[in-house]
Amino acid sequence: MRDHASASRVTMVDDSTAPDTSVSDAPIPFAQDARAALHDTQLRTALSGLASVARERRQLVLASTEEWESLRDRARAIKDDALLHLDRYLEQFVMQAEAAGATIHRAQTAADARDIVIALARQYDAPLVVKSKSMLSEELELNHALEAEGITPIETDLGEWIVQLAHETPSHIVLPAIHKTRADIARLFARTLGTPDDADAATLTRAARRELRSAFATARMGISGVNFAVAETGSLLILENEGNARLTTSVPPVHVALMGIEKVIPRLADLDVFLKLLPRAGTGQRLTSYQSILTGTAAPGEGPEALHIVIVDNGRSRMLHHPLTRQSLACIRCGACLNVCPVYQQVGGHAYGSVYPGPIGAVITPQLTGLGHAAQLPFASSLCGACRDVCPVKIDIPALLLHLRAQIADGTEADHAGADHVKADHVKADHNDDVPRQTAKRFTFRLWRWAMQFPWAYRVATGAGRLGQRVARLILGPHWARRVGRVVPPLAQWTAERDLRPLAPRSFRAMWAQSERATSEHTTSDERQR
Amino acid sequence: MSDEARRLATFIEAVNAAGGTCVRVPSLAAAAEAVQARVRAFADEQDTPDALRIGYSDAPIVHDIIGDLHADAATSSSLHAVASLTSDALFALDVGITGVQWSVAETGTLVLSTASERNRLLSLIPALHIAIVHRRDVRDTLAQVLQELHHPPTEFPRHPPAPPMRHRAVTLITGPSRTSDIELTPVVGVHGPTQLHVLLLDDSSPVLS
Repeated sequence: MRDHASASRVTMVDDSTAPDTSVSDAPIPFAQDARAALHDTQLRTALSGLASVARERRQLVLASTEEWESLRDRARAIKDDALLHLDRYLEQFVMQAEAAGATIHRAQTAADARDIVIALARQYDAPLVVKSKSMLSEELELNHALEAEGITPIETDLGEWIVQLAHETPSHIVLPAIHKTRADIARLFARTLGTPDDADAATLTRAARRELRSAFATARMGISGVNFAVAETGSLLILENEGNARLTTSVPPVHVALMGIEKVIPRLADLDVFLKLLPRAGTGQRLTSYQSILTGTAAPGEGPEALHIVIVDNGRSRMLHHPLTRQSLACIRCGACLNVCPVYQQVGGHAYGSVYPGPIGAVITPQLTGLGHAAQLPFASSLCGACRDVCPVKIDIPALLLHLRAQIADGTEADHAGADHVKADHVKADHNDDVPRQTAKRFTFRLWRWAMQFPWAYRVATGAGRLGQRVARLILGPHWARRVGRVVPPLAQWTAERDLRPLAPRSFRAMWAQSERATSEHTTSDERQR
Repeated sequence: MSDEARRLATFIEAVNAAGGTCVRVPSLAAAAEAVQARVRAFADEQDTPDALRIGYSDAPIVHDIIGDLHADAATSSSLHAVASLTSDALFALDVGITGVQWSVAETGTLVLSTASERNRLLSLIPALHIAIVHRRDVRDTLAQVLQELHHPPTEFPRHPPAPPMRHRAVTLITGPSRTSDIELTPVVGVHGPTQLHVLLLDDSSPVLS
């Protein structure tokens, strides 16, 4: 094998600074972490390019594809069909893949999946494995488990590798290192690879190519994710731009593919739709540089001798029961909803405390791990709907967020969503609202609903509000709206995260009535003159 | 312009738009010359004056071109048939020459299948990939290629399973390898080829393979 020295350099990462990334059941403190992220100037700099990139991509999509809307509808219809008949399509996929020479493994939980991969690495005597990008692998916390068993995983997607070298986790579904600036990465590479301190993106990329080549030549096992699994042929489709997934799935003698149960699509011809949608939505390209369509094992010398496909549930089948939650599984992991989300654009991915950040993460994470663990995430949204508008498979993310919020507010987690993880009281207790505060909120909203039902009650309420507003201005000055929380303590809990919007000095009805009066007076004086 | 002429023009344009280069060659001899020229240009770009190592696939069309290359003494490079290459030797290659089973005009995509050619690693590991496309293999859309890859469509689970696809490893290639993982800056040439050069063989002679 070539270049042993540099292969070991890749693997010799300093573990002393590694944060503890083991599975934690503690609730994700989104509000706290988001606040910290807002004060992280370096993070804000790194994220600053995202909004304009999202806009450019959107324009490109709209300009280049007249049929965008019909493509979205077709993609969603295919996914709906696949998910509705998932049992049969999975069975067909398994049968066809086995007929083509693949070995299928089924994993109910993350732990099952980790055990399967570890056993395979032992079976094939692979102390070093190369990995191409897989969000499922992140979800399974596979790297951690492999390392604990003395197996060295090397991420080969440039962004994933950067994140691995820095002992961090990805902060975006398709742009794992978006939270780091070029300067951060240059310093990281200077420390670990000896590149210049101020290297540009091209130099850093070349350094990564050089370093990772030796890992590819040495590794006896490659682990990849899967974008789509075709039922009628048993084929796997993997999309990428860098070529690392091609290397991972063709150079080592063993290929292990990790896929969630929801990756199955019925027909090979369906790929046409998804190959038009995913690159445009994900990276703003008409097509990514490479797509690999892999069916079983190939001819000797033209790919791995063995293909193992690990099909993982890990909480997904719970989402199948209800049509509303089922659509969460239609997600093709393009990351478009992250790029346009006003919350994600400000706080980045790590604040979500989950492998899947952004709007889709706020929907998937609570369903995968239980509401008690991620009770704050469905509230990490302004419900502006930008995510729904860009979603290539038309997932109604705001509707799902509201559904999850309702479950959290009522403290009633439906039986199908994570019932084996949390009990209903935990859901309530773990949410950032304490009980008196919730009661006060509920009382206020009930009062509001009542007032909205009767015009006279509404008029009395807004009239009282205007009066109170005038008094508050007299006492607290022009910035009364900001100060009122300090004077009326319960209001502070509302105004801490929101602006108190003053009522207009006069209502529309009052203004309308006045203008009517003025017009009629005007007309009468005209008549008098005549 | 005929349908085919329009299709080929679209293909060339799309390959260029995707960051590759494409030239039309009227004959096998012209293709050999074009390969020679491209390899020389590539050699000139290299910092090290070492002789280039060129790997070529076992497709008949590639074989015919390689025959002409052997005769040329001007190229100070070594030629290696894919069958003779070990994994280490593959990683030492500078140039890979392969055929292409189909290509897509709309997107400038090359479709390589391992069913009839050993092209999987040759089109991936070397920094320069030279691909030879015959004009009869150019299709308008990807949908057409997918249909030719697998037809007729099979329905719900069959017992016993339908016979497996002949095309075990199919690779779709659109332009060179690229990334924008560092501050969204586009960089060409990460793990795969830095350069993709397509020769469109505009040969009306009878089918070769």
